[in-house]
Amino acid sequence: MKIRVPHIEWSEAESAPPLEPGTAHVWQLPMEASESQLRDHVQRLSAEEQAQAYRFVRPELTRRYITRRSLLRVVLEQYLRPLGMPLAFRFNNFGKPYLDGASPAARILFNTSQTHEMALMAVCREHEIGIDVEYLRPISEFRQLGKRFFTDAEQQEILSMPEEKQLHAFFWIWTGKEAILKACGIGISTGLKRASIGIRENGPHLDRLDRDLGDVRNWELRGFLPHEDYQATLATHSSIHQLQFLKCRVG
Amino acid sequence: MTPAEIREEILDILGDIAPDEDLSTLKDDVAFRDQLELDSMDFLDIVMELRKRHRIQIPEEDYGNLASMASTVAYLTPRMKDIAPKS
Repeated sequence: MKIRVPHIEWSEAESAPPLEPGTAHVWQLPMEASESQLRDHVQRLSAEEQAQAYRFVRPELTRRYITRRSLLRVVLEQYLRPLGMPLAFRFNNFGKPYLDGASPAARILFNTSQTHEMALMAVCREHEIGIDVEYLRPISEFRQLGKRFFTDAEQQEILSMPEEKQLHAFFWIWTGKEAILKACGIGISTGLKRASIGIRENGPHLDRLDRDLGDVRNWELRGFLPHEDYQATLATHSSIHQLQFLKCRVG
Repeated sequence: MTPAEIREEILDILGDIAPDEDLSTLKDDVAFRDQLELDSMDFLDIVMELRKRHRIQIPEEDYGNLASMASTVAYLTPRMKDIAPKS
């Protein structure tokens, strides 16, 4: 089987477009920043975030963290401002962040994922959403990781691929698991086997979900390549029928 | 292995998983994720590497003990006390 995920086009966006029901926005947040931009970014962070930014052992990690957190705030504020809502976060028991104080009618949900020089944020109304991106790098032990953490069916999916495609298949299953378990609000901390991911011609597919996490038919996975060096999967409610891919040019 | 030897072993594993990182400034009492670029897959790589090198089996419910160097060494010390360090 040849996996051919749908091609995506990024639109440059200086501001958040209206978020219509049935639509999800996927933002790519740029990680590069000049010295003066970085100074501006730092000012937007909370005191706690500023302290965290300087705990990293490498300056690039500090730069990525500051830039990512700043742009996350800038973009989310653009969704909230027309609603008259301030930006404030709360976290569930598994550490998933939510916007605080949102009225049910104006519920805006988001999720983020970052690796290396890629940061993605997914936003939609009313429904939970999850996203995961992985940097494509050689993982010598990926079959062993699959054996330990994937279901039998998922391991079979990988092994049924030609050898040169197996690592990509592994990443589709991994990002599919992370995306759906983040959408469910629990992340992978309670076990990777709570969701089982298959692979179809257009990428990852949710085959099974533990019953307490909801009905598998309510969810849809969409694999995409944000860049040739990265694989990503978005998990949305099945009523989300349109995606907009936005490259952030704000801030 | 002594706690100091376990710490060296963890540094060696981290060096393989994240070769770009400067581990000499790693603070033991701060979470790995707050200092290094480690994602969840890298984290599970640590678990796999401990199993491969020393046959240490870490159940999923114990993964929270591996958040920082200090908590990892504390968790592994009784489990690795009878393991000889690499010569």
